[in-house]
Amino acid sequence: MNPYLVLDLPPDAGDADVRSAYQRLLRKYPPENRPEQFQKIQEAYGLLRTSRDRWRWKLLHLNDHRIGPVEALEEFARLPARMTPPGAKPFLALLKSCAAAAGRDAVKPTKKR
Amino acid sequence: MFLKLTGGLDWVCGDVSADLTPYANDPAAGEFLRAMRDGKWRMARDVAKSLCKQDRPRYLPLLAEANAGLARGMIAKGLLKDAVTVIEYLATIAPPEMVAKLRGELACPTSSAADQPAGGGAIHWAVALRAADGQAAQIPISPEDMAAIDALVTHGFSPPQGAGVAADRLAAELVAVRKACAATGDGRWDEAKDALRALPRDSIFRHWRMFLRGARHAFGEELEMARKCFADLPPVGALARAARALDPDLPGRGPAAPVGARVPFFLAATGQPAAWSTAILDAQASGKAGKTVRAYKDLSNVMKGAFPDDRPGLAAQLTGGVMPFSRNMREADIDDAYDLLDAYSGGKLADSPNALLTVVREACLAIPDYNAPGELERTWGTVLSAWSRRDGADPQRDAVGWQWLGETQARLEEQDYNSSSQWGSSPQGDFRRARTAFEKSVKADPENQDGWLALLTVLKKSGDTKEHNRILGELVKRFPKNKKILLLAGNEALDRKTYPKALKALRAALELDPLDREIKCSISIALIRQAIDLLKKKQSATAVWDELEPLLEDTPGTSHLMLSRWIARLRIGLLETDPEAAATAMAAAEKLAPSAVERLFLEEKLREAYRLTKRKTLDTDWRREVLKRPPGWEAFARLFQLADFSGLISPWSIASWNRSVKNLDALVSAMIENATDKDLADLADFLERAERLTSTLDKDSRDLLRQALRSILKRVEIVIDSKKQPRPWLQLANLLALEASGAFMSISQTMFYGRLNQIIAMTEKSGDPTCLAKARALHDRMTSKYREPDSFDDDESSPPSLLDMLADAMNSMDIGADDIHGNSAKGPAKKPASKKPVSGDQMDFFL
Repeated sequence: MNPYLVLDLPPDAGDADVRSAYQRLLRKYPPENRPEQFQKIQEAYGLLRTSRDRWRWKLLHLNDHRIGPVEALEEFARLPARMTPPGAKPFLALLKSCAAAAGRDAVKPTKKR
Repeated sequence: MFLKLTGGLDWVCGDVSADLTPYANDPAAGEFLRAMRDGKWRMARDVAKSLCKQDRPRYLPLLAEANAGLARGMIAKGLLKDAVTVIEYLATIAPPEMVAKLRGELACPTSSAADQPAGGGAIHWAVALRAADGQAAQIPISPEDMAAIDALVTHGFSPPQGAGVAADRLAAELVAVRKACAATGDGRWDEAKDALRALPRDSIFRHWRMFLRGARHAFGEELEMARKCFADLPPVGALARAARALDPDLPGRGPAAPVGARVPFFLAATGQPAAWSTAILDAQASGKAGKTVRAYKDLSNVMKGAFPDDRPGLAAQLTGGVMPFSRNMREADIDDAYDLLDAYSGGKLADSPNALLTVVREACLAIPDYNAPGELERTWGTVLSAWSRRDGADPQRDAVGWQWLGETQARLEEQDYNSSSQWGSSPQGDFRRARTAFEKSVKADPENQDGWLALLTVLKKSGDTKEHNRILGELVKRFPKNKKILLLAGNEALDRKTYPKALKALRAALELDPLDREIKCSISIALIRQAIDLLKKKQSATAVWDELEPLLEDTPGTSHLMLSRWIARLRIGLLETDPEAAATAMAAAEKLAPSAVERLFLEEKLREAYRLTKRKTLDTDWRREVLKRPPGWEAFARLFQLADFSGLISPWSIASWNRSVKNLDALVSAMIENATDKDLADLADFLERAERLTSTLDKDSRDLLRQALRSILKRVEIVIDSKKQPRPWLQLANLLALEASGAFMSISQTMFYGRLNQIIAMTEKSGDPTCLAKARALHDRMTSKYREPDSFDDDESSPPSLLDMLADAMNSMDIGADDIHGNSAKGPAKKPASKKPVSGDQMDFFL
């Protein structure tokens, strides 16, 4: 997980930016309400706290798990404050596709054993 | 006349269909509608034919709809000839607009034709009307009908106006749901709320209300609220699928939204270009087919200039997602990595800083071992310069970059220079190149304290002590508040036996972190050595012992026995030349030691380490304590940790080792002779842990433990032989001792399992659950051990334990006999660390 994306920071963010982004997100995602998001934010903050930390991450990070592009996109969309209403057209397209798939499911012939 | 429902939206509209409203509640048409709803066109056609025989003018539109559905199905399947035949027939019975539309579809078949609703949505409308009518009569809605109702909402069918009160009411509800959907997608929450208010409680669309509320919360990142709403949805169906797209961690399993719909949706929801959708889907397919390079190209061809990228954003996320480099790469991954590098070589990489900073950077990180000597340095240098070109110079970035290169070349792990045991036992690397890299690092950023520490480590390892000491002296002055540097300086001074200097640095380090046990251990060593020096000069060491006191702990744990209070007392008792002080310390040690056996065991070892005269009564005391109060198997296990600890101070002589073997044999004999079932259960626990304990010990104490395990086996067998009917616990201890000592290899499996099964049968009968559980666990362990006999007892190839590493560190600062008697007592010569083999196939894959 890219800590810059988690904290919603530009690549040239400095110490003060990191700290204020961390504090802003902590207020938005308190641990008692959103433990998973809180943990992500904590981890990201730990990786970017000092300028040396930030360079260490930028230079030396390596993905230890390869995921598909679709999963990468979905992971990106699930970052804090990332997903917004997509607009009527894409939302309805998603619903339409789900309805078509559900229609196929509903009439799928059951296999006899 | 059809209602205009679009509300500005691009609904797919099947406005050439017949109005099926009059058939919705016609019992004769029920079977037809069901067949149409389920896409069973031939069945629908047959039903319509038979209905036409009864009343042709009324049911002819149904026959036309069934044939139109059949034709569309054929077009979707590519059966164009058959579709032509059906359309030709349709031309004789259906309105010309319907035929014209079908001919158009035949001319330009689209992949989405299969997803078009039957009858352009007219069937769904009719099904919805029937469902609404049935619901009024308390008839539940079937999943098939629910799917048709959801499809009615999402597809652009416009219901006819003025078809009756019920139909108009349903049409108004449909308008409201569609309006709410559009408003939710746009984030116009108030509008969505107002629209949903028009839905009555018993509406057949009521589940849409919960879904849209949940969607609103999901977009507002209120997942808890969203989950509460989604929990009320039907568990299968369109909305359950859509809810899973919005919240993948939704409880309960089920299919999610199709991937082809999710990608454009998430791109839109995160404000990314819609044009990337195809590239992402293509790359996903390529990746699944194992074509990594293809996946990479799918993305880079479409996302020109944006992919690959390392800067925060979706492009970086996708770059990471398809990049084949990772730590612990498998053979297939390495092949992929080379393919990618090949595909991007030939000047392309050098031209693109982004590609350099992603593809080549990760290649350097993931597979540095495959480089020819010097190649990594050159390639990594190119990466750092690319960074400077793109984002401008930054000394800190260069410092971090060169430091990584140095660590990689020297094969240093961070712990090598981040603890007091700074000269760890990691395999040696190329110190000359590493030194150059570290020098570049600290030159770029002289405040890089970790870089300095790494440089010191390499200087020490490469034997340049003079330069090492010079730099260390400067660092202490420059970074007076750096704990690691102060600890290092203290330990260096300890090695040189300049105790006041060592203590000054170590005390300053302890002030910075008063809880650090590493520093406390180093101070303890310095103080003990100082005391030994004073005692040699016939001076009082009381002040030094007093300073040691606050550092001591009652139970410091096995890795910090240096801080153990009772061990410190015992040491003072042995070293102190003032008889009164020595006696007081000894008395305190006796009181504080966990058991007399442990105290006597360590006393014997320390006497040898400090070359003190052997106490004549030591053996007698040992025998007396052993016979009087056998200490239990927990204490027995601790003896080997004490053995390890004393071995670090000074290596054992053969005589000492033999004496220990003899003493432990006597102890084992006493402990097993009259053991109760409780004692044998403790013995079983000890034997089960023995293998793990062995792995934490240094060689001498490990051998001692193995000898003790053989002794236990022998004693248990003697006791068993003396009994007519040995108890299950005794028999189990015998088998566990066979396992722990490795002697199980010398008896047949049949015999071992025979005896084990006998114990299991006996304990099942007698009802001893603990013994039974241990016997069964042994059975499971032995199954794998007999399968892999080679895995047992391989101490030569086993990796160095933590204690091995501690031993290295302690050997470099041992406080052995030479300190008090001026003799040289060097630790056993260590084998030179083997160099990690370099692949013969030195591949020059970089620029």
